[in-house]
Formats: sequence, structure tokens, C-alpha cells
Amino acid sequence: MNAALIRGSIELPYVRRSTEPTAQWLGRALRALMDELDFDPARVDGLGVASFTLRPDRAVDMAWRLGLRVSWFMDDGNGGASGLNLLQHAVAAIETGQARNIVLMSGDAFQPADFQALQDSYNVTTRDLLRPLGIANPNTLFALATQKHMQRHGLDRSDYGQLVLAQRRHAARNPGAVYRAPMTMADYLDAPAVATPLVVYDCVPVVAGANAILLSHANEVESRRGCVRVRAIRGLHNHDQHHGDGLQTGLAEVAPRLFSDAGLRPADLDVVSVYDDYPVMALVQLQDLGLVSDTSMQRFTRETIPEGRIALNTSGGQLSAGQAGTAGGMHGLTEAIRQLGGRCGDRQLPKARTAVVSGYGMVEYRYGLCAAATLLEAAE
Amino acid sequence: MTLEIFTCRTCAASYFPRRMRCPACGGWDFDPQSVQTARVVAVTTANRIPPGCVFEFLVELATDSDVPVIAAASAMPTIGARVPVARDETGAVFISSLSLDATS
Repeated sequence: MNAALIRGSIELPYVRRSTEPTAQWLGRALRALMDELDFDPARVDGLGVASFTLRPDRAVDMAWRLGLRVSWFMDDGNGGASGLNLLQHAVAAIETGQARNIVLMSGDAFQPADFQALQDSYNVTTRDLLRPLGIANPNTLFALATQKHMQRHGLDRSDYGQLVLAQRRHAARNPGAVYRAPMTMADYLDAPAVATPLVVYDCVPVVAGANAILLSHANEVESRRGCVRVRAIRGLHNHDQHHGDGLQTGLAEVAPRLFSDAGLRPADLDVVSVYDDYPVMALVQLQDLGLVSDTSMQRFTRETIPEGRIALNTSGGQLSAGQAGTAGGMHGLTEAIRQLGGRCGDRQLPKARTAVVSGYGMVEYRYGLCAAATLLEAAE
Repeated sequence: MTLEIFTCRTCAASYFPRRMRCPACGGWDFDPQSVQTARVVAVTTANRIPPGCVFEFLVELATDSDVPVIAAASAMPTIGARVPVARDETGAVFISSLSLDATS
């Protein structure tokens, strides 16, 4: 068991539009987290920041703005993989004595010019091969992935709709989510098309927001009430040398070791948070983690999900709560930590002792390069 | 302009986009190979088309050596069809015609 304890997490209510600078969002997230946990910011000696739009500032600039003296810091621009990546490095930092109390924060408030800048600076492949096509973007790329997935598993649009609807039901109890109104299958199937077969509800609503997490060395923690342990964390990136079809992530290879590290099985999990940039990738990660077999994807989408037999993305996920840029990589982690810490209010699960959280992202040409997952357990 | 994929000089594995080091054998040298045609694997119709963009369909293609390539098209290709493919001066890979394969 490692020496790190997650004390808690926070997510500021997401909004569709904001003129507030990204740095302000991040600063407010820190303040809200410190207030909720009654933790003196002067004790923070490590800072990790994930953001697309904080530039030209970086983590160390945020440390300066927030009056934090840090012996460990980290910048992470890896989108949906950033939350897990920050956590992986922060746990190691605490284990090796680099810091005692680390804040991880993630957030974005895009202004119109930021979207173009993101496409220009995402990576060379996007700039040189995808931008010239005009219509190549994550929506159209993952529409292609969805088509291949549908064919492989014998699914139709309503199967992906079941996941979207289930998450919308959870969002009804999340006051911070931007999409909370009940949705029917007819609403989903008849929604405006984005890129066949995807409709607007298959695509995350872009929002402004920020999330933050506080980890401490166990010796710093006065009371373990509400705290969470990282039982295991593993990632594998560029797992197939980008020579595959995009319907499997590195999680398929690391999952057995992840669960054996923790001494847990998929059936032991109370809470499941997978990175839901698109319904297809949520299903892919669920399969890779061993939560649904290759031969029973239909049963999973048509029975397990609509019957509520899996506590999946209990905040509503990004598909209902929203994606605040890089904060999407910390959204599922924030939710799982709050569930295990008993801080989810109306949507608190009665039994929330263990959780799996996965991150995915960084599209290199056809699909994401990065995938990582962590197994968490309530510490009290 | 023709589309070029990149073949490892040591083991003949092919890639697009080009790599610096061959994932299969670790070789560092690649030779370009022209690709005239490819097979359609998946097609999506884009609903939001930027002003001035002539393409409406994003397509996943597979070359004869099974190298996946993302291309755009102005007309909808048939899945499984073999189509001619080219690359323009902006770097865009596109399907230049739908009339190659008599059975498409």
C-alpha cells in the first residue's frame, strides 16, 4: 500500500460560456477545495496543473499566483489522459518524499480564438494531415470508430443511446451538470446529426470549469474520514503503435496487472468512471477493463446499463456534465473520489467503497494514444 | 500529387504517417511508396462543413499493405470499394474519383 491518501476533490459548477480567465477558474477551484476540506493552503508543497488555455502560464506561474511554495510541480497538457497522469506522478512524488501535500488542478475556459489555437498546436499530425481536410476533427474521427464498433458488436444507435440516457439520469441529481433535463430514447434518436452515426448527445457539451484534488502523505492526515486510497494505477500509451482500429486501448493489456496490484476483481467495484468523450470509447474502456466481455456487448448495452446494474459515470459524465477542456481528464476522478468520500449529496451511492477510474485521450491521427486507470478504495 | 506511405528499409513494414523509428524492427530508414488506390473501410457524413471546404465525407481507407489512411471526399464512397486517392498541395489526402471500381 502506498503512502499517499487522497483527502478530497472538488468540481466547480460548469457553465456553457465564461469570460473569466482560466487562471481564475483554477484559483477558485483551489479555494473551494481548501474551504471544503478545511485545509490551510500554506501546507501545500506540490502542484500539478493540466490546462490547454492557461498558457502562456504554467504550473509554476500558478504557484506564484496562489502563494504556494512547492518542492514538486508538474504541467500536463495531455487532455483526457491528464488527470490519471497527474495522479500517477503525484503518488510517486509523495512516496519518494518530494512533497507532503499535493494539489492537482485542471481546467479550461475557452475563448473563441483558443479553439483555433488548440487545433494549430495540438500535434503535428493534426496540423499537417487533419486540418487540411477541413472536416477531420474528433467528432468525425470517432464517428468512424463508432461505425466500426457497431459492425463488430452488432449494435445499433440505440445501444449507444442507452449509455447516454443512463448518464443523463445520473446528471439529474448533479446540480453542477449543464445537461440535466430528462431525455428519452426518441429524443436521442431524433437529435440533430453531427457526423453519422453521431448526434449532438453523443458529443460532450463544451463548458468552462475547473476541478481540483488534494493528496497528502498518510502521516499528514489527521482523520481518514472521507479519504481515499490509490490501490493501483497503471497506464500504457501508444500500445498498438497506432496500427490498430482504435477499438482497444492500452487498458486491455494493463488491466490484469492493475487488478492484481490492488487485489481486486472487476466484480468488486462499486463505482465506475470511464472517460466518456464519446459513447463508443466509454464502451471500449469498459471492455478493456474487463467489465464487459467481447461476446456480450449487446447484453451490456441492452440490459446491464438500462437496468442500472452498473454505477457508471454517476455525475452524468462529460456527456451530460460537460467537458471543461482538460478538466475532462479529471472529471471522472473527481466524482469517484467524492462518491468514495461520501460527499455526493443526493446522488450518493449507498455503497461506495471501491472505484475504477480511467482516462483516455490525445488523438494521434485516428484515435487516442493514451490510456490509464486507477483503482481507488475508501480509506476509512 | 500522389499519396506516399513509408516502408521500413529493414523489414518492409509500412506506415502512414511516417515514423522516425520502425515500431516493428527498430529500423531508422524508410522509403516512400506511392499509393494510387485504397479500399474504403468506413465513411461518415460531416454535418458541419467549414466555409470554402469542398469535402463532405470523412473516410477511413486501407492501402494494399493494410495501412490505414484518413481521407476526405466530395461524394460518398461505398464501403468495400476500391477508390483512387491523391494528396493536394495543402497536405489533404482525398478520394479523387468514385469511378475506379466497376463493382462499387
